[in-house]
Amino acid sequence: MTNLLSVLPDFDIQPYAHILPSLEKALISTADLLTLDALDVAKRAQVPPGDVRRLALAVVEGIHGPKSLVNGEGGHSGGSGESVGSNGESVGSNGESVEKSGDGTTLSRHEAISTLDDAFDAALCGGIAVGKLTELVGESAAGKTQFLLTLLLSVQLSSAHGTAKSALYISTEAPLPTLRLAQILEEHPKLSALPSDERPTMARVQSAHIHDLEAQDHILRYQVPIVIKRHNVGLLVIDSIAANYRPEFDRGKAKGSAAESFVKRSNQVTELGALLRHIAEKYKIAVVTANQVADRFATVVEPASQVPPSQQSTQKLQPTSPPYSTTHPARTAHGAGTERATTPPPTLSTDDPLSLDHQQRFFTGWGDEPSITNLKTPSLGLAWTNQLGARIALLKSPVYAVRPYAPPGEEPEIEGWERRFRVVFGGWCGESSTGFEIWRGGVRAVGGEGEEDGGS
Amino acid sequence: MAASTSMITVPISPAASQKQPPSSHRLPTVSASEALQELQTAGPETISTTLPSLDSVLSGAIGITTGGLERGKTSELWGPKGAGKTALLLEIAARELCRGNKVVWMDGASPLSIPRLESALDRQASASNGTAATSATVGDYRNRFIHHRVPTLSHLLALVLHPRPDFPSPGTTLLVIEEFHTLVDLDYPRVLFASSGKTQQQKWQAGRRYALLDTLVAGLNKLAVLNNLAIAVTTGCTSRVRTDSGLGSALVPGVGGGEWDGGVWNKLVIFRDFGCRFVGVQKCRGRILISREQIGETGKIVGFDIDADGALRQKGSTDGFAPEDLRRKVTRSPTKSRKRVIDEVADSEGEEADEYGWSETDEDALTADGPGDDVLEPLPADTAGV
Repeated sequence: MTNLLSVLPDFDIQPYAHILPSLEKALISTADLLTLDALDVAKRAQVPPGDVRRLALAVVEGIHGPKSLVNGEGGHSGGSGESVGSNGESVGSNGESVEKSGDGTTLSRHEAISTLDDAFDAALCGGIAVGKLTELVGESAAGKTQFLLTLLLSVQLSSAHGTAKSALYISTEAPLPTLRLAQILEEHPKLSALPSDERPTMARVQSAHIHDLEAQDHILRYQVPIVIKRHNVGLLVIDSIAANYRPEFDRGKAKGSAAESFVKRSNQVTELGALLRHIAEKYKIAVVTANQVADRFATVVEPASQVPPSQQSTQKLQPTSPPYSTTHPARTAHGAGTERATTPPPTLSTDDPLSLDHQQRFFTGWGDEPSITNLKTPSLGLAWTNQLGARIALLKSPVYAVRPYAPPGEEPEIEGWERRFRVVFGGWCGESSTGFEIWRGGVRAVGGEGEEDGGS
Repeated sequence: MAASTSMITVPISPAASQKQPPSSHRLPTVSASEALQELQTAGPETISTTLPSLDSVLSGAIGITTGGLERGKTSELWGPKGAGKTALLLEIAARELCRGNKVVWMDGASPLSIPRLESALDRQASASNGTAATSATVGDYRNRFIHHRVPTLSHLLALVLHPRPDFPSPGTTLLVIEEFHTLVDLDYPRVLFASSGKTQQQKWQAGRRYALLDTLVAGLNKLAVLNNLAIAVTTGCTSRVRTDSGLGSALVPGVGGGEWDGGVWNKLVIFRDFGCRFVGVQKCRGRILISREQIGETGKIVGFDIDADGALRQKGSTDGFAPEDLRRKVTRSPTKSRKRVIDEVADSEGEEADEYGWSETDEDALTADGPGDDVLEPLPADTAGV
């Protein structure tokens, strides 16, 4: 029953204090209590079954909430009228107060932290959502920290952009770059245009450093909530989330096998994700984590041939490669008569569509465009990806100087970097891709937007 | 015989609902031919998935023109992040709301984004009415959407296995449980396998995950049947190594196990590909459509796309069945036999690979110097179930 108080923080355990230790020793969790028969639990933990039954009933009652509460979570936004007799019950102590914005397609201002750039805000349908866990992933020097610094300032603005709050920056590698933060504060057009009493200050940015994994868990679980309440924090940034995991698991452990430590790490990452989402929701803040990438090697990319796949002979798996045109190529319909004006059914590009390698192209942010040849994978794997509310990938690819008279064999010079800001997936916004650049005042979007796809 | 005040009503067929005259003491009966006729004319009630080809694949038989998620049954949707599971379910829910029904939505991980629901409602309302819906009607529909936040597995269990008498309220046709796997993984994280060093209690705890899934799927099915609603559960994804066929890792549903897979009526995988998204039907009307290995195969596929504003559009022909997926057949390398001879081979159900593809004996293979004369550990007794 170790999780009883995390399920129901206000539960009164006094009447059951005599059976709880035995239940814990028998490894009975709250979910077990609700699914197993009271007699079985009692036999296992050697406690009276009547007490177990009463405890289970009390837990169920506690979860359902008091009977008189008719909190229509279905229809309580301002414009849609009063809640009509719905039996929605408020679960736990989370009050659901969702505000509806005027046009309905973007989050209301109250719920998003702007990025201080209109194109980014449009891509994110208002900004970084409050109450959710967002990840910012990219190679080193991709621009993650620049972006985060801008958010640290933006959250402090009242009404127009963020809520009037502070920010908490937790670093795991390099400390907070205060000089750069000061520079952005001075040079960003939207910030420098504000009158001095409304401008954000460095004083409202709290920073902390975490050295290792155990400290990370302790600090996030116990100390961060205190800081949030004391300083009215509206944004929690963790830069970066993967750093403390690497040394722990690279060390070869004598007793555990590789698979066991992998499973253990997956479970830790799952718990971390749940903790961060809980913090975001309970204290109504935005949690943004920065993440690193590792290289990923895809099989050799061949140019996609124009021959329809049904005519190719296969003896082995064809490597996956993105088609040159992302629009649906014309293919002869398989077995369809010519009289029926049917559009040909879409075909899979590979015979192993559910392989991890192929699917990683779509949820990591690297791999679904033919121009990207250098594939990266965010650290901490699929377990961490499953925890996120949204993932933003910052891609950079080199732009080579064009030198027509260069001797052959000489390496091309890198003239600059082409950077893209990609929303890979988001619970509240659709997928999109925007070019951007880093300048004195932070980051700003440039150029046209890429393909847009996905929800509002 | 029972006293006159208590009647034993025996439901003969799901479609037959006979009103019992209060003074009658007889058992209600329906003749077999009538029951058969009812079943033939009225198929099971279904909720359309807004993708016509998917509806026809799910109907399972030619001739039944309306298909979709069947009421009274549980369907599972799984797939990687960003594939389109929530988008599809929102469209289905919005359509149900516009038809006057109620929808209950429970989310396990991040709370649902309300603007997304509202934009789906706007779309479905204008699609059904032909003109843009007024805000009053959209507000009506919105009020029929009942949202429960289930931050822990215990919350879900309390709502579903020990429901209040008034839950779900009458008129509910759809119950959606989102991100179910995150709830289960938090309370019952995967353990690799029950190694011999653990106590009996720890072994019992290791088996609890599957026992819980068994109980829960039975509870969900019961809730679905008693209230005649369709339940849709999304279960994310996880990866599993495919050692047998020699291919790399593949995605598998985030929640698995024999009883869970058996209790689910439909299983749909939603995934992305270049240029198009797909829904693969892996299990339909209780019948599994993919091979026994069940890893990496998609079943019958239907293509769709999501617009910039969130609308779902089917891609491809809308007539009748979705054709068989046109991917090329690949000859996989034959299943390799195990390198070590196992003595106790008579009872083949004991040798189970766990979810990561590791089995009990693999740990020995990793740590031992090589196959020798060591006696293998006896296979563990069945630890699932109390």
